[in-house]
Amino acid sequence: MRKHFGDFGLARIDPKLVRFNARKAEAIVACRRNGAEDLEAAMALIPEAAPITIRMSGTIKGLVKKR
Amino acid sequence: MDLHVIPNVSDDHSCRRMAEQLALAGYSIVGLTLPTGILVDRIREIKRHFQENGIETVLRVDLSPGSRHELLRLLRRFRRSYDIVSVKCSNQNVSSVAARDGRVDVLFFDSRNHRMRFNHTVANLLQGALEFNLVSTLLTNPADDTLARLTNEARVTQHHKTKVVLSSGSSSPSMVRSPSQLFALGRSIGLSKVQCRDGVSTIPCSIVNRNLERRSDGYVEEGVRIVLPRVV
Repeated sequence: MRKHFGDFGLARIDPKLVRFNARKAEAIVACRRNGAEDLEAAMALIPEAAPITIRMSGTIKGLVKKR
Repeated sequence: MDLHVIPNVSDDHSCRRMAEQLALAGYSIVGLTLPTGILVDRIREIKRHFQENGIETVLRVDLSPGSRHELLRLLRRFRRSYDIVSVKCSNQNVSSVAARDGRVDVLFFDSRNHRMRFNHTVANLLQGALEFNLVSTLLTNPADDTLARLTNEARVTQHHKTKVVLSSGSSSPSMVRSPSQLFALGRSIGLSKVQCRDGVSTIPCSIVNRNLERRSDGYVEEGVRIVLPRVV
């Protein structure tokens, strides 16, 4: 994220890893609402991990419930 | 919909893995780019991998002609055999002919070719759509000027209200990305929300539906079909 959006971008997006399930290789990442698009774009450009966005929600309960 | 997926035809495991990743990303239809000389049985086998994961496939061919004559020859030869025909523009002659030709569905440009870009001249002539292979371009060519070039091309499309298709151009399972990620990448290069939304949904679907109708039995031309009488 710092590579594509710089230090200011990183501060604006403010990403945090909330949960990680190693068995399913799934993670929940939180960020500021205005930075969600930039977070997705930055994650799409990670070559090694190849993350795919499954869904987005305003709450963790909403993410888990939609499953 | 991802209109540009390039599976490794010699590796079954890679094809299966790619299909699983596309299904996880939420795609229902993908455009498979396969080599032109591939056997029909092999095509059927690859399509089956995708259908097992609930993904419909349409066949796509990427033409890379060196000249105007070669382009016209390839179009005559391959138009009827594929659902989507795309042209990789390597020089000005090819790009201007491909832009004007109604048989070409999408144009795309190689980011490593510094002499050829999507400019106002091509935009004025373009009948089809311009494709941005965002993931493959940005991952395989992370040069400083790649983003600048994409941003300039996005600005040209906004000026001319060009139809834009956002694709991944993924040639391996690790390059598959979800539609929302393609949307986000399109926004980051300066495309509008409407362009990005249409680029991952409406425009690729309309291209596919139009060509499937053209290739269906009984189709003569737009608005004209052969209808056989029903025997009672």
